[in-house]
Amino acid sequence: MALKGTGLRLIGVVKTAHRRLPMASLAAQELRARGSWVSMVHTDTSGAPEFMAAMWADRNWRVFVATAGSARPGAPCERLRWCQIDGGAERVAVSVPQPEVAEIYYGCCAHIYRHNRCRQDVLRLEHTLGTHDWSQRVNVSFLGFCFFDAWLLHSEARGPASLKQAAFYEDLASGLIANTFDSTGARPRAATGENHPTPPLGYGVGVHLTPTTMRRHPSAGGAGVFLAQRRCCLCTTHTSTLVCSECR
Amino acid sequence: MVFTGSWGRHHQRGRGRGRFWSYEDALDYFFAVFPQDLLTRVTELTTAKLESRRLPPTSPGEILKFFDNLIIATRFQFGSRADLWATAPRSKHMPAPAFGARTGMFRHCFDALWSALTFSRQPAGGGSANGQSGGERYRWALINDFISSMNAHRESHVAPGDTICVDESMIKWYGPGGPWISIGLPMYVAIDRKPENGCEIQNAACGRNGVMLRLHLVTTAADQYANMSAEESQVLHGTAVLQRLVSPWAG
Repeated sequence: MALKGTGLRLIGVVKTAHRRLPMASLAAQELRARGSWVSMVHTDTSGAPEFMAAMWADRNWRVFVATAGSARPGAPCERLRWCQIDGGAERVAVSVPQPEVAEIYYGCCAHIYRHNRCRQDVLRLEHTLGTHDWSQRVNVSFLGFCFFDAWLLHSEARGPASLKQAAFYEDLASGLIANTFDSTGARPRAATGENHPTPPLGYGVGVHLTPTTMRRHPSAGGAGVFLAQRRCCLCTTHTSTLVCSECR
Repeated sequence: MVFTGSWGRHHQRGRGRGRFWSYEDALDYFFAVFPQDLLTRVTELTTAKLESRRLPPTSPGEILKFFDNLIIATRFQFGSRADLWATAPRSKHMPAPAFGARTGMFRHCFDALWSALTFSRQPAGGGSANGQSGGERYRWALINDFISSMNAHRESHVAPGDTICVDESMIKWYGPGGPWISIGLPMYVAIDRKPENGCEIQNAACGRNGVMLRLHLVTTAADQYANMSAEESQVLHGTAVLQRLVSPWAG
């Protein structure tokens, strides 16, 4: 009710491992078969519904308490499941009717589980980078939140054409390597009168020539295998390094 | 979900209220979700720590390259972290990691940054110098700025869909910690039904695509009681947590 006052509605599952669970009254409810449900609505003094409770029988029963949704039939839950058929097992489409409140709840309840799994089992920053400093572990994990959120944003924006997670992280890594953050906004130095002025500082210019890590993007989409060519900072010929070997 | 990015090489498309931002590559998506002020703060704090050790200062570009090293390290199998800079492959079927040539960051530079990387400011007065030991308040201060920056960034840039999912996450930690000792993780959570022990976070995510919207650390009961507002003390704990996580998008 406190949340409803702020304009927010709630759908939650009742915790069963709790001593306050009204087991006796729930056991008195009769559910005919899988996919059936019973509901109860609490109304205020004016007769308007305040919140509802719904018990839905899937393979196990679930009890929802909600200030949103309704007990009207929602879209049935459809899954492919292995079933014993005469002569063997087959994958059968199982369709279980569900109330609207269960449809809304199960439509979004797994997003944080997915976030945890993809962050911890696909990116695996915690697993890969061991540390004895707890704050380092927690901060790097938060960084993992940002990396995975970037992929979620990418997949939301690009739709089916988006990169897979691993490919996205490689793409992000190559972008971070070639970042021009430190050279953005730097003005070129005034001419010193030398024939060969010092090339501007940038990634790849140092003791060794380092190739660019940017990849060429093929027109068909996906990740390319060829290095993207740039122009040399001095002689403007095509090269895969920032400064070609002739000008070094 | 609507995401109004304010940083990066984006292109504006459309007109009027329906316009949206289109990002070019993965880096732009990262900048859209990573708080800009945090990068500045990390650079300042890490530079201060490096200079106190008589090491050269760092820059935002170098911090981003360091993040790149963290990502690429997850793509290789290695025993010791130093193996990532090896120029000879461990097997003929695997490429040499050669991080020095691959990322442009050498091992001594990475190690210096890894040991000096600081995300949050320590409060003035009291507590130990590095915050690893001492009162709970000083230990939480090592990570608080990251959370507050992320929360402020998401609050100002993200408009979630019609549903918000609230749950909890665990960050794995098997080192020292707990409210009974003054070192390590201040609130060590070990629950049988959870796959990992460590630091517990209550979080809210967009119900449409799962982008994390708000994070809240689970601290000790004493710390929660001390930081509880008058309104929160009037309601049940679960309601107070929900209000804290979804309040920016209420109404």
